Amino acid sequence: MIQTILVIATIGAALAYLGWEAYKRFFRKDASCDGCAFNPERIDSKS
Amino acid sequence: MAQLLSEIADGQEVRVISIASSILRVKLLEMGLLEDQPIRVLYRAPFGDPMAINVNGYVLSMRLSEAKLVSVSSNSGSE
Amino acid sequence: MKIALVGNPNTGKSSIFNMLTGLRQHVGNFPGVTVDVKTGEMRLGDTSVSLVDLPGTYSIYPRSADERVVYESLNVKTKEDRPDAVMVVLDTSNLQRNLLLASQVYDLGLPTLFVLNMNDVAKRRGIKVNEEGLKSYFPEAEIVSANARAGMGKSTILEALQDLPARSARANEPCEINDFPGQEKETIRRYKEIKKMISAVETVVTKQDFTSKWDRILTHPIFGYAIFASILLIIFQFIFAFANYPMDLIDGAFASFSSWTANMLPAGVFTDLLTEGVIPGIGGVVIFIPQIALLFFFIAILEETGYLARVVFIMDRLMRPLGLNGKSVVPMMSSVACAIPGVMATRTIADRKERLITILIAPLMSCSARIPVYTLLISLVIPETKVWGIINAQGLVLFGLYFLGTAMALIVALILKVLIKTDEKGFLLLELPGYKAPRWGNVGLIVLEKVRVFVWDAGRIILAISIVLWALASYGPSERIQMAENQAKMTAAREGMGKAETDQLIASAKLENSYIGIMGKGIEPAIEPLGYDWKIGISLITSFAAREVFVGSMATIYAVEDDGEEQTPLIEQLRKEKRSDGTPVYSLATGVSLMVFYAFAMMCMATLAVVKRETKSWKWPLVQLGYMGALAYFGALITYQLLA
Repeated sequence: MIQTILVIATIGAALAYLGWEAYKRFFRKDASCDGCAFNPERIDSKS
Repeated sequence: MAQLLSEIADGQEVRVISIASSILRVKLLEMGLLEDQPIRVLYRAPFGDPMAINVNGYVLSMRLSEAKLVSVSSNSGSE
Repeated sequence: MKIALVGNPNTGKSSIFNMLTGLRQHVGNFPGVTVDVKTGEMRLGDTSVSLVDLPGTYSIYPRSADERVVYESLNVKTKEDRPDAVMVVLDTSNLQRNLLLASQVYDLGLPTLFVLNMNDVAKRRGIKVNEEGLKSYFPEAEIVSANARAGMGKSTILEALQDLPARSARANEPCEINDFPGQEKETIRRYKEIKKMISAVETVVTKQDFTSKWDRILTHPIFGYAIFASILLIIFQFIFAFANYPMDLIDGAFASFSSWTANMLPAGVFTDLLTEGVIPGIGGVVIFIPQIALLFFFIAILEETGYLARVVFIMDRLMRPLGLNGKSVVPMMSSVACAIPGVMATRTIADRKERLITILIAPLMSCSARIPVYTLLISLVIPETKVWGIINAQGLVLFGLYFLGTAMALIVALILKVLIKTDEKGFLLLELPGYKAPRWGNVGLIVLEKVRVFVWDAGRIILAISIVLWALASYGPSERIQMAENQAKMTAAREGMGKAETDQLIASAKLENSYIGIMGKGIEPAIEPLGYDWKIGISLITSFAAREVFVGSMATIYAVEDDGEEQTPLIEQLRKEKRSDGTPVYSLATGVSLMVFYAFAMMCMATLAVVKRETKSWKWPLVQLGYMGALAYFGALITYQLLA
């Protein structure tokens, strides 16, 4: 039973993550780039 | 006598006279090809293109089509 | 506090950056400008400071995509978007050209520090610069000298940064990005002033000859190409022969970790998910590290020594008829590891058309994600014989696949050159920096960063796909599964099968009716002419997200089907696969056809995403997906029909 719940949770997380990545990489509007180098909120940090 | 930089033989020293107007003109200026700047043709890549020149202490390479934009005079002639 | 680091290329800017920040750096991705910029952390007294390493440029006015970020981030109108200070790195041995950028930055009115770097090279060339004299022309800036290659100047720089004088208002506004006449006038005016400064502050003791002996050899019509070809061969040898040992170790470690987990955890679906989906998924990422690290190790050395610029120089004339630029060589080499850094490396190509063609063909270069696919298929269908007594047939086929990808890339470039219209004329204009011994610290940091980006960025996606894939292979419409299972049981009973055989048959029936099995069956008619069955179809579908999933998904499919006690290696399992007429599924024709398919197909969502970002349009990633898909399908079709 616990295993089933864990499996559903993991698969759900994986699907949600893939959806988010696809949205982020293909669909999200890019912010205007004026000075995004120095405004931390506009930096999409990779690590 | 004015010549195009692309026609200058390896090892020759020349001076820049002017740069033909084009989008590359400002880039060439920024790279240091200013009026009256002495430059030296160093060597060419295989097939004679691109060429490498010495501009004020550094080596710049350019295609012959870019070198055609630069008109130069041989050093002895201008002085 | 945030400080921007700017400077001409080849001034030792990254050495300064590494010296100041060490390992505390990370790559940020800037929306809109599509440039990855490194940020590093350092301490300045009690305050922590972020140092942002902007792309090297000769002027604040951009001439290529990567240079744009310098203009945009230093010249923003809103105060909170601006850096708090700017550090300009100058090559002391080439002050005239370096002062153009420095004076442009100085006039932006931010607190400014000039770092006169490479003073050792200047000394060797007999150049002396009077710092005090220079300061009189830039009264509000601090000026220090350093030799970052020797690790000298860190404390001086930190001290100077601590008390940078505040600035009075901007002297004059910079030109607009497209105002070329204005920029021209400004450049001429600035150089006039700079010449005056130089004659006042610089003394040149000796003049030296710049024709280097090395350049004679490395740009020689015969030796130049021979040396470049040998270097490529050596890199190739390292990636294929020597990277195998760590890769085998990683492979073995993950296999035993998987069975250890299976033994330690209570049996159940979640344990299955871990051992069949998650652990092989992580293993599939980690296994590429040796090859990626090695390739970028070599590229970093070539770049650090200054050799890469000579490669661009001798390759430009050869690449031009194909619509490419000498600079296209670097993205194409990087794409042998992974097309993503390859596509990003095209930013240095200033011409739009040359850059676009390079982006479009880069994924045809065989990346390291194809290697496990090739390796598996080659050992499956190519015999271990010698050709002409010496050459290993398997190695020859692998080399042939790399050749096929590269040749096709060049052919496609030629076609695109005719199809893509442009009014712009491409240009090269490249500085050939002096030769230097590589700095191992810099090389190490480059390798570390490339590996980190791959493991972290690509890794997360591959892992998520592996999990979803496992789910799709393990579940299906419940009625259908139930029916298939009952039918299999009946067949087994009728034929009087043993327990193992019955289990095998049931597992096979279940897979065939799982969600993924249904999809595989669905595309079977389309891929039958290529010599594939529905199980290969499953692998193709899953590979469209990321081709590195292929081997893992084969393993999942056959392990799911196998469901047996002992783990037969995948390759044995594949050899046993039979068609309905009794011939093996993985014949020579099918195997080679699959290799051709994988060599050409655009099966990497992450690359498509990067292409979309870099070209700022949907058109080009879709064109790429389409043309590579067509190449793959028809290439594989012809291959199979010829060989079968």
